[in-house]
Amino acid sequence: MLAPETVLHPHPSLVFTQLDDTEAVLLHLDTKRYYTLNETGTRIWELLQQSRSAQEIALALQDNYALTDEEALPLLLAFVDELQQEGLVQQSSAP
Amino acid sequence: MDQRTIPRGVKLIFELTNRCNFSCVHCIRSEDGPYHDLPMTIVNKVLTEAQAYQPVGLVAFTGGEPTLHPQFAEIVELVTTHGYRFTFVTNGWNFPQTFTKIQAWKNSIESVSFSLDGSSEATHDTLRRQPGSFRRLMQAISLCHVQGVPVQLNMVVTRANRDELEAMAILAGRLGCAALGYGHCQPTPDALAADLVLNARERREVETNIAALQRMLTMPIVLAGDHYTSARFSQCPQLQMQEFNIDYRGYLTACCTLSNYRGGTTDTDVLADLHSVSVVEAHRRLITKIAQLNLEKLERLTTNAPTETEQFLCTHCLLHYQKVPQLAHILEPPARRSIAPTEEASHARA
Repeated sequence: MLAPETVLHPHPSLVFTQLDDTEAVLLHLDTKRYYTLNETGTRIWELLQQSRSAQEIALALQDNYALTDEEALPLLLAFVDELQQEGLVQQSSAP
Repeated sequence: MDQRTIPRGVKLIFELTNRCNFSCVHCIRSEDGPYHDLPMTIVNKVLTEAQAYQPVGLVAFTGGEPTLHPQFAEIVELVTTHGYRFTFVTNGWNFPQTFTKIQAWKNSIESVSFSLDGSSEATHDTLRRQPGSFRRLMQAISLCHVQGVPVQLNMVVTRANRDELEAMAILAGRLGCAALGYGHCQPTPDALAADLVLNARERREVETNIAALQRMLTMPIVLAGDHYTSARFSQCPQLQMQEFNIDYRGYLTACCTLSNYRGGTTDTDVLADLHSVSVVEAHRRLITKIAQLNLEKLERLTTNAPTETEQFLCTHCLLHYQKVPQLAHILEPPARRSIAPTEEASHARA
């Protein structure tokens, strides 16, 4: 379970490419696999690049997409779980 | 039928500009100004006059960095209006912005040829003298992947990256590229001074390794342009008139390799100024020049056995057009350059 203060960082071997306002693609240079991100995934990725904690990202999602706390956190956790399984993010705790 | 298979007709190559945002030591193009962008009127004239008497299969844009042409998108539109598919080379540095401008015609893109000179970030960025260029290129390739635009990777093989041939092929395959091209680093003064140019024996080893990769992988792998040949009158696509090169000033030139060659005598390869000469007349001059080249080659062969260097396809033209002086032995190891061919070398030519 992801703690609220957890900070996730993009894996250093990832190349992020914004396609337009709503889509992006990730390329993992180690595995050479591509991952496309939808609008919400792209927004979360942008926040991960800013070294925001899980709690901060969940709050931003609530603001951006008019989500409740009960909606935002599960959405984030599910997405982060996928990112971790694919080795796309690295975890650290906020100071 | 897949429209990308075997374009029927000639290939028109337009050097859209001699400007570039990179400064690679191994580049064949001179960095000296003045800088020109090919007028769009010349592109239109060539397309119109050429298609009147011969089928055009493909239009290619080179440079410099062709995407720096201020009317790049308009030229792409013009080409597609004529009904042609197109391809272009690029270092990929500004690709997202470029692609946004030409996205409307993406279905007419035969392929985008990205210049990638190393399978690793360190090798590519060092050779390109541009930190971050590898990652920018990977962004460009990602964009093409998602947009369904075919990608070809082109690698100039130098002393600094010749150990990465196989890694490059694996990289291209795993990135989902449509094709991979290798090309020998040409003997410009700068590339020679930087010790990037392989000698004839090393080049042939590279070619053997590329041939092995061609056998192993299903992805098309080509060795572009210059390569070893035992034939005395081997004809490249330019000499076969399958490819025509129009330089950034609007001149028909003998070949894309010779054009604006770094450190070489300028304009010896210019055949016609298309501002004032028709495409048919320019073509006529090309035919005459090709005949002259073959006659000169015949004379050389009847007076001297070719050196190992001269058995590489581009050497005769580089000599003829005075692009590199004293070239006849330039690809041979230093100890051998000043002496007669060794027994081993003679045996290799037999």
